[in-house]
Amino acid sequence: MSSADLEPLVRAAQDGDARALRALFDRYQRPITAYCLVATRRDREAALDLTQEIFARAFRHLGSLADAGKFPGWLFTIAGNVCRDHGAETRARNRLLEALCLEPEPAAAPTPDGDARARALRELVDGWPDRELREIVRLKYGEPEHTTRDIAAKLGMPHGTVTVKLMRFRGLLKRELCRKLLEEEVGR
Amino acid sequence: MTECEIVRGRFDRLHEGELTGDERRLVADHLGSDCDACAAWLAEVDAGAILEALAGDDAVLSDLERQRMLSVVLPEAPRRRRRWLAPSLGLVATAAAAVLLMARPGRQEAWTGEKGAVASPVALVVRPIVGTLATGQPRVLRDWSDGEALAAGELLLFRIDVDRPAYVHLVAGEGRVLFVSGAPLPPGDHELTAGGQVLALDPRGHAGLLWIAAPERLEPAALAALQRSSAGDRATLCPSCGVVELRVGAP
Repeated sequence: MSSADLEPLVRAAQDGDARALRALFDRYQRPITAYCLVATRRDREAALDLTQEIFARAFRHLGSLADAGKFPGWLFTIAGNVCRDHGAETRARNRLLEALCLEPEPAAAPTPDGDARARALRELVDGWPDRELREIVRLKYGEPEHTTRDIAAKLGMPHGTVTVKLMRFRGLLKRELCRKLLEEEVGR
Repeated sequence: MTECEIVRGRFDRLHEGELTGDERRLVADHLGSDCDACAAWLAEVDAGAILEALAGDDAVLSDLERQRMLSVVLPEAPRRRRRWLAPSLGLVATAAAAVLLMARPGRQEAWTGEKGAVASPVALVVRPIVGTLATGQPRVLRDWSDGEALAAGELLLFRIDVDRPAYVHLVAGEGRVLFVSGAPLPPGDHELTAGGQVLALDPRGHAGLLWIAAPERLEPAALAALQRSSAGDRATLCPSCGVVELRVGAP
């Protein structure tokens, strides 16, 4: 679903349009349930309970989402909050899931957890050898959040270098998550 | 074909749960080799798609699971209570008796229970409201919680929301058919009426209530079969049916 399709749908849902709410549920239920399955180590019953709570919370607070285009990231942020509240994740999993949901960048979530996200990211990248990359990630996802142009200016590097490094960072995180989860599965 | 290409092809097939344990191991081993090319490729892949691929079919809801979840997560529509209080509205039920409203002749195609005819169930949301008939007009008192016992003189009124044209049926726990809409309800939120009058129901004496929304009008035998079935079996018996079960509390 393109952002051009998504934004009017989210706005309609914010106005209480039941069909728009259902459409959002149908579009995002599967990735959210998948997220919960990862968080619960494939406990399907628990994952469905969490999915239900995530959507209930999201729909209850939908009016607080200022930028309709940020709905996916906002929803995944809620997913992270709900799973964490329920202790569904191990520390390592929590870090990886936090990282995976960096894109699209989330808006403010109904429950404040920006610190938790920033902490998780710091822990994740602290051991990485690329010092420049660590600094870029810290500025991008820490508090206060910087734009890529701000980061480029601050670190004195070309804007393209910053965006390429961030892209690489996201790819590395996804690779790490996939590898870890697949290894857990085939190791059983 | 490079190993990266093989891995990416297999990664796509994770979605369908098609990979064997050995194939999954190969993908994991390759990703574990710190392949930068695959990291660059993954950077372009939507995070949700990756999660879905890793989760496989477990993330797919059955029709019944979807319907139940929707009935919980959808916020309640703004109540139009004033309509309940409109003096033009009459009453269907007496305080002591359940309502039995027969449908107008509708489509008589028998429900066969055949699987696969309809891809997804009708999304049905039932909003029971406690009211009274004390003044001869329906009066709204409060929202009803599932299982809540009613006080003397209190009745249940219903708002029904369907996402597509659907017949709605109400079956008591003991198998009696209490209500069938005379025609398919159009999509949207409805206050249930029959012949222009509000449907009010005294649930006492019923062993639960089962609301069923279906694209076709269901025959009593089919309704009874659904009522007797477990929640899991209902989705198999009627994949296109949206079902909401209400528990009736003891007074």
